[in-house]
Amino acid sequence: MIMINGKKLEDIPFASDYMQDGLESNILRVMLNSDTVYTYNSLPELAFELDFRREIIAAADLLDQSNFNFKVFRESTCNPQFWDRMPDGGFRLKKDVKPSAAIRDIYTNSALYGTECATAMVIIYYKAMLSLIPDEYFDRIFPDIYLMNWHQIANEFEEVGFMRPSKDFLPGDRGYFDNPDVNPVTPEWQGENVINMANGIYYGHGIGKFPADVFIKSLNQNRIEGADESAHLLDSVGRPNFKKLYNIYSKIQSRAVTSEAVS
Amino acid sequence: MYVTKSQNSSLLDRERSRRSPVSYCTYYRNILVQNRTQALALINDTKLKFPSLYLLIQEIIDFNLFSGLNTRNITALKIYTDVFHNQNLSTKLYSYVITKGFFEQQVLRWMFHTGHKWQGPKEEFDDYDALMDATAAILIKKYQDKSILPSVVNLIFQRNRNNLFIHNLVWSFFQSYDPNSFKLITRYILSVNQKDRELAAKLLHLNTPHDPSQRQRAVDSYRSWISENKPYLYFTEEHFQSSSAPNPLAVDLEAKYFSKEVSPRHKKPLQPYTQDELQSLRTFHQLPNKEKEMLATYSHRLHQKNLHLWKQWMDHNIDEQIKLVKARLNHPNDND
Repeated sequence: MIMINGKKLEDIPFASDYMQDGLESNILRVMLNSDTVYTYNSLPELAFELDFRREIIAAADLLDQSNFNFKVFRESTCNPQFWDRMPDGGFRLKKDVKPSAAIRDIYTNSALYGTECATAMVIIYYKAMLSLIPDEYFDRIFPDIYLMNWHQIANEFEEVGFMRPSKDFLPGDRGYFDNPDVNPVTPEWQGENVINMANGIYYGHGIGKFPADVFIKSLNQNRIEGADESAHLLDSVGRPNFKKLYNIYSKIQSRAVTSEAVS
Repeated sequence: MYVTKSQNSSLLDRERSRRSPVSYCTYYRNILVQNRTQALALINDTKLKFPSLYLLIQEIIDFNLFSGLNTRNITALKIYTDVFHNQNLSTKLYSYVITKGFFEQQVLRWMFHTGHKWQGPKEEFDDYDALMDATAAILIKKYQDKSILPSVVNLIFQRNRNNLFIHNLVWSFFQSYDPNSFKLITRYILSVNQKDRELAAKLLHLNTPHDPSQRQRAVDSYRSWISENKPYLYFTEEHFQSSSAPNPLAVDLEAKYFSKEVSPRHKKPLQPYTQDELQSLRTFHQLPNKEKEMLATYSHRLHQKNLHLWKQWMDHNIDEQIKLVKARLNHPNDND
């Protein structure tokens, strides 16, 4: 169920605009049919979440099409023009470069970069945000980026690091295929962080864009001798705090409108 | 004469500790050129520590020392090739068959125990660190070897102080499926080092008090929690690869309510629920979490204290049980 400022979505004028065919309606259908009550203060707040989810999927798609490599942390690589490689294998933004340019560089010079699946997910969230707000605001909000799986994430995205039990797995959500019986000599196959790309397809860095069974098969091929437990998708999801991000976004929007009026 | 039996450490270990890695390898190469038999005796020394072997892998390949190496060293090199898929080394070792099982476990222990305190040839997280991670993982996952857990915990915190990668090591620690071993982490809550305290709090999923005088209380409380819930604790599959704030241990409240021990790995009671218990569980599931916790805790404590009274209490339906517990909590001095 979706509640907007105390009213059901179906009872709100113009709500049908969001129900056209496509990704947004796909997301809305899952929400509307769910036991979980999704609450929003306004229709634009809901629209922002739908836009953000669309951009997460688009950013994942782009990364999948790029030459971004899979590397374990001790072999991780980055473009030294924008990032310092840290002792733990993470990447820290150089002091004299623009955060927006550095995130974009991962996509344009993708072959220079290589890391594990979780860091790839974090890059996707930054890229999604960058697609929604102007560079100057992005640079102000994220002056110091550290890319290292779910750690060192900017406060604005900290919730994506938490996995919460959820009955719904919506397009744009993060999931995790766990491989409890992984061969200990290949720890990179412990599991795979994925983005739900809709229609039963997931994106995981290093494996690609496939249905769940492909992820499970790939992980199962890297289990310890005598393994008795299959890899499986956990029933918890990671989501950004869309309300927090919307508040940031709407402040930017109102500033942009004010400065336009002044000029 | 290179080997002196009176020394507690091997000559190669002593030379390694006073030289740079490059100088140490050159030193060994010079011995090899002068006296191959002596060089082999040094590398096969029973007191040798693993890092002194690790640094000489290239010399072993270049001088084709394989046939002169003892089984411990051959086994360690085989493990190395398994981890790094080193084709060159793998080909050379192809004809050597190593005994899996007890002997392999002893060699893994030797590698880890004599090797984990050395930080590797580079200051960053490197192949040597990854090899230590793999060694710990194989010992814990394949051999269920819990004897290394105290050293694993020390290594996690040592690396964390140096901002090095710890997530695979933490994963291996969780794979021990040993709730009691979490007590090893609690002493870091009391550390003077803030990074230690922050990591300990993260691993134990605790909020630690800012006030140092309250930290001991937090430790005591966590240790009591483990002790009370040990039979009902299970591992949630959360770890640092999937979450920034994993909560690795949880209490199976249903099992605690029935005082049934669970498998920490599979979250299943070791003795299956009876039909009557399954029926009660359906009602138990509907309760709010707070009431579930209240009933489970009361049931466990009563079971420990007086089995006869516990059986009587369990004969009531859940609504009556809740009433009895609430009355008991309001009048704690009344007799059961």
